[in-house]
Amino acid sequence: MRSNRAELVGGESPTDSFGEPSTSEPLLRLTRSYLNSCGLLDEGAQETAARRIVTAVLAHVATATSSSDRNTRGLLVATARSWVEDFARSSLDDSPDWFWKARELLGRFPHAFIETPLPVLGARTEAHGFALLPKPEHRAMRQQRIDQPFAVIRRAIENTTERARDRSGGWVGQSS
Amino acid sequence: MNMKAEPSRRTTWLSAAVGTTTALGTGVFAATLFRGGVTVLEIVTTVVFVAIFGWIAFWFWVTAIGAVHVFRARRALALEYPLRSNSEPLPATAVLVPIHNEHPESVFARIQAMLESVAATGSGASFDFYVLSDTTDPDLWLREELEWTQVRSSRAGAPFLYYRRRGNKFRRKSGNVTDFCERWGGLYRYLLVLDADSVMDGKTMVELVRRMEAVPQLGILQAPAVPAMRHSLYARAQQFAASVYGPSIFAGLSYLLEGHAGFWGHNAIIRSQAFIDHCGLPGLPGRPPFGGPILSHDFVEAALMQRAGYEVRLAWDLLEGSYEQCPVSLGESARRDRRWCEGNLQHLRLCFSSTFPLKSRVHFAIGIFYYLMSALWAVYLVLFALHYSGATSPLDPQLARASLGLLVTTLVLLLAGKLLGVGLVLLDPRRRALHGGAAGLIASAAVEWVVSVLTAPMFMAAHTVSLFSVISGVSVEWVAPPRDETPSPVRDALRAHGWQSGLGAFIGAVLWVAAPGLVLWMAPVWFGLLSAVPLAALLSSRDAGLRAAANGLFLVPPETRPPSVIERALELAQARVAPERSFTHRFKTIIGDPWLNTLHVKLLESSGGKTRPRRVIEPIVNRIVKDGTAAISAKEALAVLSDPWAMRTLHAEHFDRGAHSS
Repeated sequence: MRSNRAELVGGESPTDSFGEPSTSEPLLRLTRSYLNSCGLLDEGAQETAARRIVTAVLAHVATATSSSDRNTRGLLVATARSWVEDFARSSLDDSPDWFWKARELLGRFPHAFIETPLPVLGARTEAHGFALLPKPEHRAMRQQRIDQPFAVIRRAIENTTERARDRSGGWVGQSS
Repeated sequence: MNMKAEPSRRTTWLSAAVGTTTALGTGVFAATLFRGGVTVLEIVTTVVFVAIFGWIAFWFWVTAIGAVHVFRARRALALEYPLRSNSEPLPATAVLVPIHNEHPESVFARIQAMLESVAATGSGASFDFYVLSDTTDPDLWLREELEWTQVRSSRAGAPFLYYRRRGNKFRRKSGNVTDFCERWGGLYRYLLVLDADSVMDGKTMVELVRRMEAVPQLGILQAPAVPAMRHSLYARAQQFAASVYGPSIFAGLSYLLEGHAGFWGHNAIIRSQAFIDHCGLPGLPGRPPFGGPILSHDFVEAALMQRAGYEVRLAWDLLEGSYEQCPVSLGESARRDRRWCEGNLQHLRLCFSSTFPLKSRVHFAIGIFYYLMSALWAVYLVLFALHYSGATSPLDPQLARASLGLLVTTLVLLLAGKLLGVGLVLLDPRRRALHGGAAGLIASAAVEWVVSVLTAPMFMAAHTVSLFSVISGVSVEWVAPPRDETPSPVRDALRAHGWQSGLGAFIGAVLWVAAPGLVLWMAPVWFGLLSAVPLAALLSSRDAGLRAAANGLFLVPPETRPPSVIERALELAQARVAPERSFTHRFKTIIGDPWLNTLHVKLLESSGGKTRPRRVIEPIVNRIVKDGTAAISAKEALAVLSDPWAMRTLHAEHFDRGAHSS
């Protein structure tokens, strides 16, 4: 957390951090656009948060075994989303209603959002969900047996035939 | 009749009453028919007559017994029944609303009204609502999600509203409920199953739970589903009939069947564990329509519950608080009957299965007979016409007198149930006022009788065709019925009922040529069929229904004094008109809005649906990125919407595009 914040203190630009302004600038714009859509309307907080996310993601991608632009973009959005969710959840003490109030909270308390630690990348990004449905308690609903009337008749015929065959020494029902 | 008789004695009494009535009717009929000797044709005609007359006599006695029961217990029919004083918290109950390609705005309006109604009882914390969607139309799916989001975000606290969409529609509604039971059924003691068009007020839900708590051997408690909230003339007539005549029938069935009553699949509460343990439906051997998945699953589930030693009862006295919507037109009604006909005929093999208790099998038989009776009636009319073919003048006076006597007896039996129902309402000042007063009530009953006489031949023809199409192996696909009333132009009526009008004209012409003496006798049949098209157009008219209401016809309590839950549901539905924006716009919204996209993806992950391989889905995603959402088909849209990776990828790409264009 402290290292992330240190990168942003003093208003370093992405150029300072990555040395490749042409690569990071579109990513910053993307992240700002995403945060804005989430409800983070404060431009200063947007800028700060976007830089922090881009820094962390590019550092992570650099160490990852494989990456593509699409993956990087996906990771940026996933990280931003996780961060917003962490903020909303912690702001409402894990109330089940946190999701529905997140946009409002983000708009009203941008600085509190910035103070929330950035989630650790790679540890949990996509799996960081919330319960839209209760945790299942699996039960098997076994199919019941229904005796078919024709099956009963067939069984009775088979049994009769079997008995007759036994009595007659096995020639009943056999073709030559 | 001893009203405190044991269940087995009750059915014995009923059998004796039905048997005696049928024997008397058959005696008169045979004496009339066999006057000139006995032929094979006459014997066959008499056998068919016995079946039809027995059926009429059965329902007469059920209704008569029910009317006595309602009369004796009429104080229990107070419109605002008090809640039992019970301060103990209620056990956990899941309210299930299975839906499939329904009108999302209307469904969620009703659900929101019910949520508010349950919350108002103070027992909201004991209830969780689940919308169990099997929707396959991508646009309706998105609208369901948006509606759910709106309701969920506007409400804080209990009861919670969950939304789960299945990625497949295996075994349709019963499979949908089974899927729920296997995942979350163990979390709840009771399941309160509703239909997409059901409305139940909170007090009724609480009362149903309390009744289940009071009787541990009760497996299913079926509440009456009172038809309401429709305005076409046909729907109004149905609503009126159900409101006035329904209570006697419910009470009669409840009294006679006791713990072996039926389950209609909705507006009922179920003991969860017993249902999970004993009501898993098997498939039937063979191919549809007689084999395959069980279609009318509710009857079979009730039978399985009874086989396991649990009771299935009708809460006949809850006349208020549990509602559904009925078909708005004859065509819609016939289409529903076609599905039910197939489902009931599938039970034929179960009637002879020793697996089930006798009363359950009688239930299956009643369902089958309902459809069989139409065909028998058609056969009877043909036999009757054959018997008197060649008659150029009216029947001879003695024969005519006997026939007339029998006709009057039959009409009395048919009408008695209706008259008893009207009488019971007339005796109750509150219910009388809620049905438009004595004059309005009697006028409505008279018009309803005319409507039912005129439409009876149409249903006879439709049921007979359904029966033969099922027997010949034709299975129909279940489609969601139209839940919203739309004006049905004459062209629709022509398409649905043109063949019936043609049949009526044909029968009338044949009688005119071959048996002129029967033209008048059989006028209700051929004229009813002949008038199918104009009658269907008139009955499906909303304007005609509203005019009838303005003149005090077909008024029912949910309309004259609407319960708050219905008022609220209608108010919310009016505020939620179907969105004008296109599917493409909604698709883009779900892709671009961070919160909606997150919700959608998390719902997919929570529901655990099946996804397509990446090699299939990625080209579609690339096409959307390149050419937009309009570039893909509905099937491809469904695949993309069902895939968490695709939805996340498109979401990130959406912001990338925005970043580049800014």
